[in-house]
Amino acid sequence: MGELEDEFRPLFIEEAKGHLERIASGLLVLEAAPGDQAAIAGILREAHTMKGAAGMVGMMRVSHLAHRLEDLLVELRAGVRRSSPELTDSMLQFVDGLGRLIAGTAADQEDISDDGALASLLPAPLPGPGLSTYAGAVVAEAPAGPSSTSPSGALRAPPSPQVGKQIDQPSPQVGKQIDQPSPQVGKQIDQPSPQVVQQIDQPPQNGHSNKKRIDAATLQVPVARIDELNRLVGEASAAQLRVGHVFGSELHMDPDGVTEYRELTKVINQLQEVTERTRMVPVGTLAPILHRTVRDSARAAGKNVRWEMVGEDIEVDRGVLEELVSPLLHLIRNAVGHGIESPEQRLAAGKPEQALVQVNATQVGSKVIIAISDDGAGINVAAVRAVAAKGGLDVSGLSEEESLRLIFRPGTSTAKVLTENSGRGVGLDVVATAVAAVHGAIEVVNHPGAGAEFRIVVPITLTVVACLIVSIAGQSFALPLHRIIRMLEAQHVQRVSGKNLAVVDGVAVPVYNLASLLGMASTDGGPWVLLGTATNRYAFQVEKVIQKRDVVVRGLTGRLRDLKAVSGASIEPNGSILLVLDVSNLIERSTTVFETVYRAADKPAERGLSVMVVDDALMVRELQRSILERGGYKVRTATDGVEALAMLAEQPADLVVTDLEMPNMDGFVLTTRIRAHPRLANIPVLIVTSRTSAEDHQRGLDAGADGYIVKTSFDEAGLLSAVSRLLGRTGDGTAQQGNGTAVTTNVGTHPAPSTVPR
Amino acid sequence: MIRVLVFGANAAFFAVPMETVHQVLRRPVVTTIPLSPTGLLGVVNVRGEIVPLLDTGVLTGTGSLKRSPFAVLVSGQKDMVALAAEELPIAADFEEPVGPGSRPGELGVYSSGGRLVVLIDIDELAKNQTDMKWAS
Repeated sequence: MGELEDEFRPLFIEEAKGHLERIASGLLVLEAAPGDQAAIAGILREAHTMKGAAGMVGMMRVSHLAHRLEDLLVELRAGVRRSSPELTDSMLQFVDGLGRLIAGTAADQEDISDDGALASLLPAPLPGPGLSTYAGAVVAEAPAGPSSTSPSGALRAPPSPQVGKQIDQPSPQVGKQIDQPSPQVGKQIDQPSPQVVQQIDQPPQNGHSNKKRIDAATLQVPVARIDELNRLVGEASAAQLRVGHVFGSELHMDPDGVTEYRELTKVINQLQEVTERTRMVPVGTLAPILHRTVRDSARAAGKNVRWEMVGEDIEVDRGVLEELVSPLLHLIRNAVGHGIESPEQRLAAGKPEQALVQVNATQVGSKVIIAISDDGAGINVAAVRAVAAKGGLDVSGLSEEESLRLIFRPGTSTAKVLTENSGRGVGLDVVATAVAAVHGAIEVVNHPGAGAEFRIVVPITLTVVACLIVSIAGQSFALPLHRIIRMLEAQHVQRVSGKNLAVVDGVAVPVYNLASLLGMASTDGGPWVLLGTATNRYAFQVEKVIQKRDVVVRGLTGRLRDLKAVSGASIEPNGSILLVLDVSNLIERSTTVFETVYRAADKPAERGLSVMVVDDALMVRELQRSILERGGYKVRTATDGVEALAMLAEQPADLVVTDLEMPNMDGFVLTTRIRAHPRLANIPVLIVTSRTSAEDHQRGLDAGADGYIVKTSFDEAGLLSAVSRLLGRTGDGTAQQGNGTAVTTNVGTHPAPSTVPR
Repeated sequence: MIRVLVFGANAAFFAVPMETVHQVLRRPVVTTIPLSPTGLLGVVNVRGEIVPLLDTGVLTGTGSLKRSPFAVLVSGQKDMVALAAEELPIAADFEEPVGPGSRPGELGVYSSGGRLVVLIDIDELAKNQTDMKWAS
């Protein structure tokens, strides 16, 4: 082996892993879509590039085997051979063997694999198009990148005897292709480009083309080296800050006024950002191995399984991801082997024959959730309990959820069949242990008859998160953008029972002052940020919004691991530390704070009295229901006058609270009808409306209403006070004033119940 | 003989073994953490690492310091921590102790430069100090 080959062989070995991985992925795509020309072309390019590169570094066995693979792919491309699961099996095994051969070479184990046995995995070439016929086309299709312009191995390889035969006696399809080649292909065959000729006649002597390959190659670097790089960049940044400090303290100069210092700052900031990102890898890098596992497990079990992956772009620290490979593979094998039913069982259950295994990655704060779900039979919790009980565990007092979690105990496997891939007695306890090793957690959601979902939640020790930078009590904090729904205007906020509520999309949303919640000095005013999910929303007031940008978040470790309100932190370019707030914790904390306030509130004595709330707006109905229920009343709701009258006729209420503007029957008519109804005439009616005119006010009272509250000046205390008075219960007769900052409370009730004739 | 670093907190003096000391920070830039436990003054950036700054007063049971013009970076059992110090720490050599420590985590009382200094084990102190259990 020459010196040049020695130098570049390790590089080839690293590159070959990527080629083989992409070939395997391409084969799976091809299996799902037989005849997919784009997939075939992609695999051909990889095989071709690898063949050429292997030849250049003197690994001729690999080169020849890659050539065999190319032959087969050309047949597939020409349509003279069809892709099939069996063929995919053979080709994948061949690719695996090729990988072992290359790895063996890397370990100086030249004879680790038998070339003949490996080659025999592939079917014998068919009479038809040969590789030499298409060699030029392969090269022509390859992109112009460095990795695709290494055809020397292919072009130097001697044509097989079949090739001449194929050209002399083409199959009809092949003849058609040869007779009517695309202009591009014809040009390649008849008039090879000067570049190709040069490659044939003058193979690289000085390694120049190899050098180009190095520039574009993906290098695998030990994580420890990346860590060291990150540490050194941190040192450089700290030293730069110290220099800046010296400028100020010793030379009495503003360092930012010095051009060279500014440039140094800029470069170090960029360097820091780039090095921080080097530890991050997308979850999608596991897609090939996960897909392959689904495919192989399904083949072994005789099941038809489709595979999907969502969230491939979610990035996670590579150290964490590496540790998750084994647990994920285990879960996938379990899903296919045990979760998914046989095709016959699926059809009998009314399910499509083809099952689905989905891997879904999402990022939540400083955690990444990777969920593996299937649409199989779900987990038989009774069987889990039985197995656990058989193992001596007392399961009598366990809830359904607790029983389900027994599957993470050692030895609790319900697999009926010991298959090649799963059910060997090594249960999910191994998965749970592996996940715990990266400070993660695993949970399971069971849908009996419809499938199961395993969620692995792992912290991101270092990740890039798009954040909104806000100021709270003079200190900057980051809020992860994916938890932010939108900003709110302060005038949307109303205060009810010591709690601020904002009406967002027709739903009352609790709002909190973030500074108060965090125990910091709070100030009035400032924008509100709406956080949460589609169903649970919370708004938090901040001092000001500074900017939106990516933040490299470090998970807090060691003694800082259990901090309450902070999920991570970032080192800012100026050396300061930016804290990332834990939105889930904030929400949990705000709820707790409110519950405490609520529990402390005095309950009125009107328990047992019922109120009918009539309003066509869901939010208003639910808001009033919430207030009145907290006031101790039983509440029913109706969406308009017609519905209210029907419900009241069936079961009268002690009081009616109604809006005026409603479809079908408005509040004026409803009030009039109540007063005219023999069984309902004595029920007090309180109008709560957005109509503020004196005319409407008078009209409502004329219709028989007992009280009139304008919605814009509505608050909990005022409503409860008015209801209490109308029901003749104790009350001070004065609407209590809310202390909200966004609205003024101005509740009035007219007239006193006693003045209304019954 | 033990080589130590002596620092002051609440008019008392404490020392940590020099072999555990990484560096002394002068005027550390402290980021306070909302809702943080008692005894955590904040976090500091040490060459790109986020390090907790412990209130040495709380740790030693002498009362909260509130301020930290200096910080001593030391290796704990699990990780690196910064200890708040009110005066510029100085190196010293301890011979024999002049008295025992009064509680777990106090390894002994030494005389150094005419003053009494308590040699401490920060992990043991944290473990036995109610307000600092979070840091143990």
